[in-house]
Amino acid sequence: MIMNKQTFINISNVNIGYARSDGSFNHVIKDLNLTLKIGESVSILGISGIGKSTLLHSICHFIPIESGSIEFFPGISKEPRISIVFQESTLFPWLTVEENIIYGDWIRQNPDKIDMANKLLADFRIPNTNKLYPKQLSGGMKQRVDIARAIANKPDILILDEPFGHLDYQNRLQSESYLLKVIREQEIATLLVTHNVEEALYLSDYIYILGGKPATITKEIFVTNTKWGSDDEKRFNEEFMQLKKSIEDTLLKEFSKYTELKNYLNDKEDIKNK
Amino acid sequence: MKKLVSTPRNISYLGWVIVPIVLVFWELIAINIGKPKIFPRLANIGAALYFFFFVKEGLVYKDIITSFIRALAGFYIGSLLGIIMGISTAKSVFFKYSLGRLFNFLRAVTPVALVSIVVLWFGIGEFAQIFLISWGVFFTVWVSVDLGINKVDERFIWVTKTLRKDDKLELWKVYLMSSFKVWLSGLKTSIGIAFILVFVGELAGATTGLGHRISIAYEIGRPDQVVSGLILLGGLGAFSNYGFNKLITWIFPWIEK
Repeated sequence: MIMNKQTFINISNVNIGYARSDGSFNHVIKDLNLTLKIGESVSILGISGIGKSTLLHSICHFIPIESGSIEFFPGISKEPRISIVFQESTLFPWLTVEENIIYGDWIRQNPDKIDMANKLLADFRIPNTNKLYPKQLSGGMKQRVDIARAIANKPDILILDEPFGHLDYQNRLQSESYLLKVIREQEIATLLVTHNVEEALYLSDYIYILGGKPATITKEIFVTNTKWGSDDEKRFNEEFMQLKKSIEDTLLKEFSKYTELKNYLNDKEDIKNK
Repeated sequence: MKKLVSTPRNISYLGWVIVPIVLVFWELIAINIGKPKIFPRLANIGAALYFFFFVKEGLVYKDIITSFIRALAGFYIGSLLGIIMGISTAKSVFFKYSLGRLFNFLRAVTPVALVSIVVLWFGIGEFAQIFLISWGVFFTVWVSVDLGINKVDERFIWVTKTLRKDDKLELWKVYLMSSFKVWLSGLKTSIGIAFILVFVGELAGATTGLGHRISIAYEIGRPDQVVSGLILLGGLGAFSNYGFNKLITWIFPWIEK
């Protein structure tokens, strides 16, 4: 079914970099190609510092690209509605939860915005918090309100930059499951950057692994999630766990290329061979 | 919200215990020195306060109100200009390199050192007093606003740019509101500075106000009156701080403590 869906973002031959203070050029992303269809959920994995967030920020036009093109709605020229969620909550502290949720342009034009805000809060299991200020919420609740605000603006694409990085394990599982339910229901195209492989597998249709320096997509993994049972069960599925393990190994190898870990892994190999 | 850690009751009263202890020490030292013309005893200070409030009726009220209004006016003008200039130098490269440089130089000149020249230029009167206070307040507020806006978390700006496209006014609001906590601390500091400068200004170039009253008391050799003047001045400053904090939490309930 996914194959028939309309292409939403077309990223072709994108190069991203920035000038260092000494004048030299730091090439971060090289010749990257990626397409995302409407309603699809894609994760980008890679070791830290490889340029995952840089790529996301370029898609949002926060950072300019050097060459290549990032095209939204190819064929039709239409401005996309983008919503972005960061690792740390970016709720405006001077607005109440409700005012934060109805902040975006789209929802502001909606006459029953309050009802929508209430429904989203209920979907994310934080009802009756409308009149509270962000300082009165816990970290997990704040992060869910952040996502609710992003979704309330009915985005064409939801961009998540390590959204649950700060949450403890239990809160993370809960928030992930609410998020998955909502993006499925509303068919929101989602682009997720994370260092947590389990999260990526749980939430996405495709996983792209960034590697190399400058970075490009080194591996594309289609995540078949229908066979793994319900959303709650799939984390414990054998295949899910094997895939998780193999991706984690790939990342670890990539990581070891650039760090001290290289020696450690080699030693380990040597011991094994003996 | 429920506080998880509350101050134990017996500790919160400590403030009321420390004041009598200080008073007892003061009295002991005064008795030991035995020269009330230099180090007044509590009874002398009490008598001076009584004299201020009940014998020379009205005079001290007038002094307090005069000093308070000067501090308030200077604080108001200085912080208003400081906020406007802080926004300008933070958001415009032109202002940053022109006025910003100038302010950084002038900021290094202690306002206390300006007293003589201000009195020379503007004479003894309200203008000179308020000018001096505004000067001190201005630079403190300017620095904190400039810093606050420069340090705004860009993710707030990004979120605004994606959720509220082309809404320039909203973007300004986000710059101001998300740096508010930083420049609030500048405002709080400048209340203290305003009261220092009220005193310094009145000491040198005024014929009214608490600073002037203290200076007269010194000249006529009445340390009891000097000390009671200082108590009133300190109380006025503490009251202003308290009032400002209450006002801020009332207007901006979202501020994190």
